[in-house]
Parts: sequence; structure tokens; C-alpha cells
Amino acid sequence: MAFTGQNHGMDISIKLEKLTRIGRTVSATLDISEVLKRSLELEQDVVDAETGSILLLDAGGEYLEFAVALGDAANILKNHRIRVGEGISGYVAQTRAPLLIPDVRQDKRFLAYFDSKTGFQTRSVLCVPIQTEDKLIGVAQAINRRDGEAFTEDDLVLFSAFAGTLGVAIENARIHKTLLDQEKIRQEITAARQVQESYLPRHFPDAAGYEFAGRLIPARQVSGDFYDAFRMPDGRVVILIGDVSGKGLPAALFMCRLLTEMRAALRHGQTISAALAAVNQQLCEQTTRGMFVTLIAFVLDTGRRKLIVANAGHLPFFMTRGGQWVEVLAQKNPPVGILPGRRLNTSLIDLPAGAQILAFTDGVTEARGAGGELFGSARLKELLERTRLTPRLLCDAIIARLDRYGAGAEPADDTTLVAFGCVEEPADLSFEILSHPAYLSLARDAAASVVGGRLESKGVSEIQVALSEAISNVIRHTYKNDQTQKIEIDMGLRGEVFEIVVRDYGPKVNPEKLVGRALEAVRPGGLGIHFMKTVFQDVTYDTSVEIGNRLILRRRVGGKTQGEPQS
Amino acid sequence: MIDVQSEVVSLEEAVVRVFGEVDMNTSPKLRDVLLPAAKQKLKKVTIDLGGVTYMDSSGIATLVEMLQLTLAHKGQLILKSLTPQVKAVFEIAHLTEVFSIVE
Repeated sequence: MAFTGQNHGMDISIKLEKLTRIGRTVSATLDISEVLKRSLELEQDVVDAETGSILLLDAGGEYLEFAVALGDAANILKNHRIRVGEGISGYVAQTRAPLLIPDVRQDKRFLAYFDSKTGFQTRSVLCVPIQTEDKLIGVAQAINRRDGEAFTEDDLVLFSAFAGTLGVAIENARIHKTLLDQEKIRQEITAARQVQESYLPRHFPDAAGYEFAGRLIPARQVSGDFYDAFRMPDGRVVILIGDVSGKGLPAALFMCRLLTEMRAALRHGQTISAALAAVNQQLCEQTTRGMFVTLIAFVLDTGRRKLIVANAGHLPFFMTRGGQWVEVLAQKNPPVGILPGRRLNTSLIDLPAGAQILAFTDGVTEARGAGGELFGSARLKELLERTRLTPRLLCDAIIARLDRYGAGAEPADDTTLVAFGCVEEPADLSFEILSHPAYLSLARDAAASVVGGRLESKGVSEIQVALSEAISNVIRHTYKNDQTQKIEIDMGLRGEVFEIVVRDYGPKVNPEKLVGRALEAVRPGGLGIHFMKTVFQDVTYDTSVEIGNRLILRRRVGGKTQGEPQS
Repeated sequence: MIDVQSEVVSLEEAVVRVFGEVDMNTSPKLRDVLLPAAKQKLKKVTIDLGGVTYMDSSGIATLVEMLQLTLAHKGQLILKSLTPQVKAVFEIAHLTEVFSIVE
């Protein structure tokens, strides 16, 4: 198809200039309907057509739909579509080749239907595919030259060029729309998260000797996890943890309603089973598109050390008995919001001094590792068996472990934990960590929680630095930066001495090599050892262990002071 | 957690502000920001540590590396607003005399 330049007196340069202007105009906007509208006006101009239309291929690729049309016909055509392969435009969509029809009356592809519908009389047609690369977007057609003549090959060349520009513009506008839609979804998720976060307790109830901790790590796609803790009028403390089925804003809103109703009922002095029954009834009566809630409600009598538990379809929780973590299968109840008229069974549990409760949502056990394998309750049990930590640190330890397990990827589901218990004395703490620096802050927090009451803040932070150095050295030098190995840490007060034991299972270190001097400093490990020796009066390797190393750090910390615990 | 903000305040001077905890876990991020600054061979780089709540030897090592790089092209590295905790670490390491430290 060559450009002949014979154009019945029309100046080609003017037409080319118009074409350039189309390019600029249509690429200046990203709104699809605006692109189409402007293009069509220019289309009419560029080939001097009486009228024209742009048809877009539908999602199924089977029909062409009138996207825009000029003149009186626009409204009539709006609701019509043409099957690919039928009529002139359908033919062009099928062949993807530009088509010039000087006189439609002699062309059997012409569908007289639309003329009869619009009262328009079609004489001559230009019809070209709109496409990007190899993808068909639609077709553009120009109808009847204004001067009454038939369209020419030159008109077709111009019109094809026009369609090329249009293809790019439509594609851009579509990509833009997709991005806008994604942005909308992102905003909805942010809104859902804010709703969810606004409902989490900012402070836990103050109860002497007790510590409460809660963590909620929202997933990329928010679901309806929640936890709560507040005091009832009679002084008992309510702790709730649960998971609304479903995801997104609806789940977050449903969670808010549930918590609002639970708080209202319990603050008005209802028993936990009455409150749950009332909430269950309300949720069942209102249509909630199949949503329901699994939850555990604890009512803690801190004075009598008794705990009432109601588990509505939620995962079992864990508690410590005689220093061991055990899974507690409390009285089973169905989830809330499914079966109306149910009264929930509760259990009564003793929570002696030193005992702790840990409850969580399935984001914990269903966290996925790099290979897609679930974290599972076996791994959680194993972690707990080796862990003796106060509630806050316990939550941090589990979150750190899950984070490593998921290799730092964003969790697929909300991850929520609550832990609480009676922790009157800074206990001996012991826990196992992976040889990864992400655990350093957990170890520092643990040290501060044990020693915080015995030293002023400078002493506490010195201990934190030195412990951090000890662990960093194990990671870097003993395990040679293999971040998947195990390190066990024990710490506690032995009379007036604070003792930390750092146990690893790597190659033996030679204690004689461990001379740290500050200014050769940044030699690997050197500075760390210098820190340890400065801060701890006693830095010893227990040579009796067969495998690995057992580093003992001791520092005199004096008697109990009134100092604020560090955290 | 760590947050590092760096700002070139004139043709020859940059200010880097550090917030949070600098340990073996976070010091690589600090290094990522400081290294390009050092390589621009600016006359003066000020590192504001006022927001640092914790620092260990890996943080010290990172700052020593920056000091060495800066001195190599006769630039000046200044540490600003050390918290007591961070100051204590510099003291234990006997490095308070090595760095230019300002309030």
C-alpha cells in the first residue's frame, strides 16, 4: 500500500500534521473514554469523514463493541456489538488488515442493518485494525468522505497510521487503569489494617506480678485476626484472641463489631458464656455472608490465680505445668456466628505462680517456609520445650523464629499471639535461637529483663553490648556465618552474680587465642572479646563439654535496687 | 530496626542521620548508605547518632571503616550527638580519641 500523494487537491502536509497532533493529543490523556472521544473527533478530521466509530474487542475476544461513535448514531449504536468475522468491521478484526471499500453497495460484507437502524446512508468506508504488537484491541472506521467522493488508498494509509497511534494510546490508558485498580486495592488493605490496628489494646491491664503480651503481624492481605485485654467491672481481666473467617475489609469490620459487642457485654458484668452466647446470637441473626469467628476467651482472676476459658472453635492453647509446656484441649464449642441458640461450655483452670498461657492464631502454625512447608504445631512445641521466657520475650522469640522460617517474606496470613502469666521474680530465662543476627535484640531484651532491677541503665546497656558481641562472635566465627545453626542461651541471677551461658555446637574455639585488644579493634572478633572482658568480670569457656562451646559470662550486680526495669 | 537518612547539604558536605539499633543485623544497612557517601570524597561528612539507641562492635567497625576511607582522601568525619549508651561503647573500645565527636 503505497502513498501516492494524489489526494484530490488536499494538502498532504496538513494531513500529516493533523496526524502528529493526534499522537500528541491521545497520548496526553490516560482516561480510555477520553482517548477514544478525542481520537474519533480527530479521525473525522484527518480523513475528512462524515462520521466514524471505534469498536473494541470484548474480553472474550468474540465480539466488537461500539466504544464511541459520532453524531446521532452514537446512542443507537452504543448497545450493539458485532461478532468477529461478521460485517466489515468483523472482517477487519478477523483478518487484521486495513480495508478500503470505495462503494459499500457493491460489497457483500456490508451489514445494511445499522443503516436501517440509524437512518444513515453509508457509501464509502475505511476500516482498520487497532492493535499493539500482535494483540488486537479493536477496529476504527471512517464513513463517507465529506466531499462526496469515495475514500482512496492515501486515505487508508493515513487512517492506518492513525490507528497505530490509537493502539498505543489505548494500551497506555488500559495499563494506567490497571494500576489505578491495584492502587485502590492497596488502599483498601491499608484501610483494613488501620481498622484492625485501631482495635488492638494500646495498654494491657496493670496487675501486680502479671505480665501480658500480644503481637499481631498483619499479612499483606489483611484478614480478621484480633486480640484484646481489658478489665471487667469485678476486677477480673479478660483476654481474647481470635480469627474472623475471610479476608480484607469485610473481615476487619466484622472483627470490630464482634469486639465492640464483646467489650460492651463483658463490661456490663455479663459472664463470659452469657456474653459469648449473646454475641453468637447477634451474629447468627444478621446476615454476614457466611462469616464466623473462632476465638478463645480467658477470664483471669489474678488474686485467686484462677482462669476461666471458653474456646469457640479455635486452636488449642498452651500452658506451662511444672515448668513444661502442654497443649490444653479445653471444652470444645463451635465457632461463634454459625449455630444460633448455643450456650458455650467453659473450663476452669488453676494458674499457679510462674505458670504461663500462650494462645495464637493459625498464622503461627500455618506460616510457610521457603519450600512451602508449614511451620506446624510440632515445630512450635519443640521451640516451646526449649524456651523459658517471660510473656513479652516469648512472643518476640516466636515472631523471630517465624520470621526466619519464612525467610523474611511477608506472611500470607495474619499472625497473632497472646501470652500472659504470673512472673513475680525475674526468673531464670532460657531459650534457643538460630545463629542469625535478627535474634540479637531478643537476647538483649532478655538480659535487660533479668538484670534491669539490679543495675543502672549504663550497666544494663554494657551487658547488652557484651552479650550481643558474644552471640555475634558465635555466628561469625564459630558458625562461619551459617545462619541456620542453633545457639542456646541461659541467663539468671545467682545470688549477687548475673550469669549468662552461651552454648553452641560448632567447632571448638581456642580460649588462648581470645585476647582482645581495643585498637587492633576491627580485626574480626577482637573487639567483641575486648567488650566481653571489659563488661564481665569472668569470661570462661567450659572445657568439659564434648561438642561445641559453652561460654560463661559472669558479672557482680549487687542486691535488688529500686531502679526501673529496662526494656 | 534501623533508619538511615542521608542528605548532601552542599557540594562538599553531607549529613547522615541514623535512628534505631545498630547491631550485626542492621549495620550492613548503615554501611550501604555510608559507603557511597564516603566514595564521593566529600570534604566533610557528619554522622548524627542522636537517634541511635543501641550500638555494638559491628556499628563501631562500620564507622571505623568510614573514618579510614574519609581520612584517605583528607576528608573529615564527624560524629554528632552520641547517646550515653553509644558513648559508653566508644569508651569501652577506647575510640573516643580517634573520632571527632561533637555534641
